[in-house]
Amino acid sequence: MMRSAANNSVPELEPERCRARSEFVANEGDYWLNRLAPELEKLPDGTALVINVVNGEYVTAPTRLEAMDKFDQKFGVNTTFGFLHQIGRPIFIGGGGVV
Amino acid sequence: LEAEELSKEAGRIDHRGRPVLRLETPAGVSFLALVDTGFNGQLLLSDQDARALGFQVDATAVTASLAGDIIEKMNSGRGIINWMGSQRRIELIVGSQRPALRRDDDPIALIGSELLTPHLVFIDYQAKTVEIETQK
Repeated sequence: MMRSAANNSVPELEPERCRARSEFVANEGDYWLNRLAPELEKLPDGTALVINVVNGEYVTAPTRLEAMDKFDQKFGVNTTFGFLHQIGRPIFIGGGGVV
Repeated sequence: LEAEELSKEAGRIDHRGRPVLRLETPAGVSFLALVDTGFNGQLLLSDQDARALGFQVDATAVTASLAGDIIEKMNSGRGIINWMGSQRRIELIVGSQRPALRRDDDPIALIGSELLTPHLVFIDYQAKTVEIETQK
C-alpha cells in the first residue's frame, strides 16, 4: 500500500492567513518567473517546475507531481516555500478565461 | 468483482443536475466529488477538507485561472485515492477556504480532466448516471 503523508503537511492556518500565505508565495513566484524568463523559455512546453521562492533555485520534471517530489528531495519537506508552474499549461478552473 | 468492474467508476447526476462520483482514500474514507471538465488539474478541494481526508498540503503555491480571467492563488498538495481499481497518487490543488454555505450532500472536491485522462466519460442526464471507463 502506498503511504499517505498527511503529517508532512505545512502547518494549518486560519483561512484568511492561509490565503495570505498563498498570495505572498505566489507573488514571489511571479517575481522569479519573470527574472528567470530567459532560461525558462528554453524549456520544452509542458515542463513542470517548482521554484524555491527564497533563492530562485528550481527543479524541473515531466509532471507537476514529479516536480513536487523532486523539490522535496532537493530542499526537504516543507523547509522552504515553493512556486509550482508548468510551461505553457496554466491551470484552469471553471474553464479559465472563457467568459 | 471482475477486473472490468474494478476498472470503472460509477456515479450519478444529483438532484441539482451535477455529475458526481464518490471517491475513496486507501483508509476507506469516502467523499463526494464533482466531475468538472472545465478544470484541467486532477483534484481540487479546500485546505480543511484535504487535511481531514489525510492528504498532504504543501508549502507550495500555484496560480489558477478562473472563469472571467480571475487569477486565484492557491496551494498544492498530494494524496492517494482509490481510482479505477487501484491506488493512484495524485496532485491536489488546494483552496484556502471551503464554501460557507455547503449542504451535507454537496460535493467537496472537483475531479479535473487530468485525472479523467485517458478514460472514457459517459454522462447520461436522462438516466442520471455517470460512468468512467478504461478504454479497451
